[in-house]
Amino acid sequence: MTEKRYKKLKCAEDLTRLVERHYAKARYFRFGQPLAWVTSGAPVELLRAMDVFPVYPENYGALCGARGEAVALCQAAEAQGYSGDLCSYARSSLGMMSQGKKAPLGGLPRPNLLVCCNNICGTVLKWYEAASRFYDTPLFVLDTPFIHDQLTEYSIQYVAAQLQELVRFVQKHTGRRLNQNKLKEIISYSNQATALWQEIRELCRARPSPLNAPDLFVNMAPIVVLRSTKEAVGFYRQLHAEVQERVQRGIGAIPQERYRLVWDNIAIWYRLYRFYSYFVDRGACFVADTYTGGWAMQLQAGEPFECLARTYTSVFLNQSLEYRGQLLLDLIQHFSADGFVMHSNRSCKPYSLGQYDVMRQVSQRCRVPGVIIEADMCDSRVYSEEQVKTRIQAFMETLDAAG
Amino acid sequence: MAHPFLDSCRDWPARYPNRRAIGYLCTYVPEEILHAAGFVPVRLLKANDAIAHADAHLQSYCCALARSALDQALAGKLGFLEGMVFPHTCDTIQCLADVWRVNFPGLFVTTIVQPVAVEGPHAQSYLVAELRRFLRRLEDRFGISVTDEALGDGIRVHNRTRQLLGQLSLRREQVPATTYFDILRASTLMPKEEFNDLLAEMLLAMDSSLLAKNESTEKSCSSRFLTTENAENTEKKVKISARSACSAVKSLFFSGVKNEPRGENAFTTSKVTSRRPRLILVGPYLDDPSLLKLIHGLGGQVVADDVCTGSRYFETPVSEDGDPVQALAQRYLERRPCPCKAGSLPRRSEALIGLAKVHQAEGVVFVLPKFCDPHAWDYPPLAQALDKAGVPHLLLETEQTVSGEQMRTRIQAFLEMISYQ
Ligand code: SF4
Ligand code: SF4
Repeated sequence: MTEKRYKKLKCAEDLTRLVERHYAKARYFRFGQPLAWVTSGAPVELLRAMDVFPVYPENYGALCGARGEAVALCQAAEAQGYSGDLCSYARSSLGMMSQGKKAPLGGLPRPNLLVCCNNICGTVLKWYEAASRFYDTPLFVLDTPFIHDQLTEYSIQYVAAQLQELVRFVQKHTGRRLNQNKLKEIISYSNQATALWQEIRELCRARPSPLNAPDLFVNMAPIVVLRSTKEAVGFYRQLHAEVQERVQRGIGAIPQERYRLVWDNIAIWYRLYRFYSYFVDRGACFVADTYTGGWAMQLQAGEPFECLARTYTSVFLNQSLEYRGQLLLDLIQHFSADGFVMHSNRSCKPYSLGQYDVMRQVSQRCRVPGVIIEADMCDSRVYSEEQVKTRIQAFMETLDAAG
Repeated sequence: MAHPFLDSCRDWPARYPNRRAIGYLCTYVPEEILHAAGFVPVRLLKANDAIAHADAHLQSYCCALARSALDQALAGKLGFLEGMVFPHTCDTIQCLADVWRVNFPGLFVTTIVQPVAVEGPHAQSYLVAELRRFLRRLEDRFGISVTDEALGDGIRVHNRTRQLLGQLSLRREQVPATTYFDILRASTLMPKEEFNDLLAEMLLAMDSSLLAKNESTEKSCSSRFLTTENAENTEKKVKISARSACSAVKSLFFSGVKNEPRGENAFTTSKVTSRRPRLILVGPYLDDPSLLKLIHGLGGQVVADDVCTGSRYFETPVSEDGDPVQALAQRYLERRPCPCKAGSLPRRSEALIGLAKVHQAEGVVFVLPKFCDPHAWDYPPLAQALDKAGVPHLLLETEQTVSGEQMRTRIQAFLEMISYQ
């Protein structure tokens, strides 16, 4: 069992329960609460403050990927004419829609609303429009202008004005009103959860690192799907205590930490453990990554609509290559990493195109080696075990030589 | 075969030694503003050369247009461009803008982040602010000041281009498909005033030959009831007058270009009066006339399109009244949307069915380059809408390992199928 190479967290079961409860609630125990499908970068605080229950099709895609069930869903989407080159979360979702309850995990419950924010990519726009046609469900598109250089005042105003529209949209379709006090409370949960998640990630500066990439990927689920809930805060408190204890007792995530690495891009879900075990075997631990940190953004104080606008427009995937390169560089330095691995994820063009230039720049500037692995987050058909192994081996040799 | 305009970026500086140029890729870039700032907007398209440099920067799953454009720049073929402007359209362009910046650090590389929710109530004021920022950047970088008069002028010149191209499109069936696309290509490379004059001249030339033809078409119609010999004669006359219009086009647009398309004169094969299946093309861009030649050679006829290098380029004029920046913003929000825009599908689908009706099209051909997400997303629902409307359609995926022969067979089968319907 490759999982033996990973020290299991005590709160792993709590996490499983938490996520299961979330899906069970979404399906059976909403008691009339309207359900919205939302993108991972949607301003969910507003929705929760209007008593809307959010579910995340991207998370569903990741779950199916990790269970090895995404390919069948992708094939179902391809049979409807959708190209096999489109994002595999989106294809999984389209496949799931057509399979109904026969889909893995019983599929996602039918949405009453769709809320799509393009701060992560343009794919979600097309995907949510397809869902809107399929379910004949109203869709709200929150347009957050991409930041090639700085966030402008008029962008913030533009997004804030749309957030007001979003409130009207939700009210119109659900009859629920925005509760300002609840919004404050929810924003505070959001901030507590993200602060804890951020601290947990910070703890990985310790040598040996208490967590490895698969831990980060698995434990990020609540910061996405349950962000802004009391449950998420509770879970991250527990996780924080456990990770802190590991640090105090000098317990590392992997048996022998020789190298510290930083990861870029979404996980290769269908190989989550096996892929990283190639690194574990050689004493390499992923102490940080660009992806799971993306959801550690704090909502600033002030007028809530403007803060939400500012925060959600500034998510890292909505910012330039230069910004993301700097982020990677900062992580490498902050976490004293010896190298970095970039997953060239053919599903996710906005995250992946440009990685070659980032790699060159980053290795030049902080003098640590990097490698690019070609794969896909959910579609295992494009994954070549042999190729991946060869690349990792060559990279580890470079590390050995540099070390 | 090298197409004169595919590589024409290369000899652009030789053709227009006294002009300044800024490059762009997508029709969401307001050329009017570049014009007002004293630049000729030059649209980059995919070149035929094999990719030599871009592989080190863009993965294989990036569309060929982006890869080729970057490749041309890295190969030093675009040294005459004093800048590049990227609008916000697809994720690929978004990344390409940043990759360009990284690789050409001294160059003026700027972006216009157009709204995606173009129908939203706040899109207009946002876009106006964004366009003004773009203007300021141009001014700061080049030490110029762009007046409202200059903007108004840019708008009028481009409206004229749109109007002339619109007129040309009405005569589309008299122009061979490849020539039609060549002229469109020329419109995105040449200084607009120069282009406008040439096209106006050509339309005149066409009209006079058309006049002759109309007469003869009339005659040929009536002659059907007379002798076949007569009909043949008039057919010949049509061909001759059309041929002279064609050589006029060529001398107007392609003068001084090496690699003149091989002797073959497309006009001679265009039989207006014949029964050719009428087709509509849909896709992001057409970079290479060989597909059009193939369709034509197999007996098809392209009568309309929804292609960014086709009609989508010249539709929707800009209002010439009021504040020019407001007017520009309005045009770019109201034009027939590209698939990257929110809510675009119903409008595209309606427009496509409308086109099919108006042009009495018998089939739709989707030309989808590999890895073009936005168009790939719209293909299944558009195909479905066409099915419902009873319009047959064909999907041609380009940049694939599909051989020319396979492509030919597919088109042929499609044409046969629709001919028998
Ligand atoms: S994986 Fe990338 S393309 Fe797919 S939904 Fe996420 S951000 Fe968008
Ligand atoms: S719209 Fe399609 S063809 Fe155009 S740049 Fe984007 S991916 Fe490439």
